[in-house]
Amino acid sequence: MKCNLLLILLSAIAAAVPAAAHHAFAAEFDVNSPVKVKGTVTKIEFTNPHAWLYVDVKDADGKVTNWRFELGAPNALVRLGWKKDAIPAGTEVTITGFRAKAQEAVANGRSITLADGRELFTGGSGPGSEGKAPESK
Amino acid sequence: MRRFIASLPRVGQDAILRGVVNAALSVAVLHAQSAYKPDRTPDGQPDMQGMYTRNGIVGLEANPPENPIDPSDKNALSVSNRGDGLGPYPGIFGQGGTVLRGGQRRGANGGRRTGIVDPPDRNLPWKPGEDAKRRQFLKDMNPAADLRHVELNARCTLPGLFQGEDGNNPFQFLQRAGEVVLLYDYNHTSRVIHLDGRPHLGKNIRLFMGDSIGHWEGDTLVVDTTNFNNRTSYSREIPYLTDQLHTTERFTIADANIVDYEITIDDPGLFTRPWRVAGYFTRVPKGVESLEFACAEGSQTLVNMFGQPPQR
Repeated sequence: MKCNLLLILLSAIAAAVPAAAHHAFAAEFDVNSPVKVKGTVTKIEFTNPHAWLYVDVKDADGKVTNWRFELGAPNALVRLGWKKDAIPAGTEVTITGFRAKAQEAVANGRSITLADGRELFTGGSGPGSEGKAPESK
Repeated sequence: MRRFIASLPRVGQDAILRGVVNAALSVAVLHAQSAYKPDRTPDGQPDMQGMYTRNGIVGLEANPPENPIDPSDKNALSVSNRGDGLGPYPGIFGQGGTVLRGGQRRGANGGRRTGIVDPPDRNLPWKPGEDAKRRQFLKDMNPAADLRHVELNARCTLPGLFQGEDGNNPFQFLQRAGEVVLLYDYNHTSRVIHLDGRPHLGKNIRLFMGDSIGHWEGDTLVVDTTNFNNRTSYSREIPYLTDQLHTTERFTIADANIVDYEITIDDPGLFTRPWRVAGYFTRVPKGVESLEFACAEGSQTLVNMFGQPPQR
């Protein structure tokens, strides 16, 4: 099961292509505000044009903030074999990304690391996500 | 003949040789087009119905603008150039395969033309001042000076003829008596191409997807589209077109899996003459269906850029 999950999520990297095409990363997210948080997944929303992953993050004072990370487009995620429960609520994750320009606790997801150390990629709209199609010249 | 060519100046020799090569290629293309005989629909149209991805329609200019919203490492502001380990995004992005990719690979074997094919040097025929205006517009997109400078796709507008998220959101071709319908997976929109000889709509009606009138020339569907509004774009580098846009498309059935495509872009509001772009559609594997793409549902672009609206 774990192996299948990893394969599905690695495959999901290709979902980056449509996500990138939908909007430009740099106009919406701040390249100078990288974020790295550790927390517990509360839900994943499969909405177009982007899926969103919600993560509860506890700060040093014990205050919990629900962060929201942009992922790829669900149409592409589904075609790659993703299901809504690919990262179920309760999963412990460390997630990196870049903060939205005008929102608190909202970011473009870059990568997700599971508790056992496996790193997954989000299919977000960031650089490198516009991979060349195989036939490109 | 060989002696005649040899007696010409070198430039003349090259021109003749180019002509011979071009003629040979034309014959080869005609042969390739005639080799496949598509089925006919009940009303006699060549049958190209099915689900396809579109490939290679948008091609870069020879001298593309510096684009502050370009995420690639060509952009000095990109995270790709951070140098602190947080960028670039993992290089493995885009190397995987969706269920749609099988169809794209079919086209890869054909050596098909893609991108800007006319002018051959890919220097677009901008009207004086319009290229500079476009380059300034791009600069004003990051940070976005105002709503007008937020890219149209991110605002979930209908895609026009060029923005359709090639490669990962398929297009479905349907043919009914007297019309061809294109259903877009992207943004869940459609085009109806009328084949009944009707005239275009009146000039006061302006549309995102334009008004399309078509006819068949052999196995090529030729489509003339007018009546665009001024809220469509060509690409991230050409972020707007005008309502003077007039396009002519040629969909040519190449074989059972490929429809070659060419579009002539005539926008006298921006360019001194028409230019042409080539690409192709490739049939996706059986079983792929169009999915709902409700763009406004999950789009957070505006609040991410400008913040939440005041709460009442």
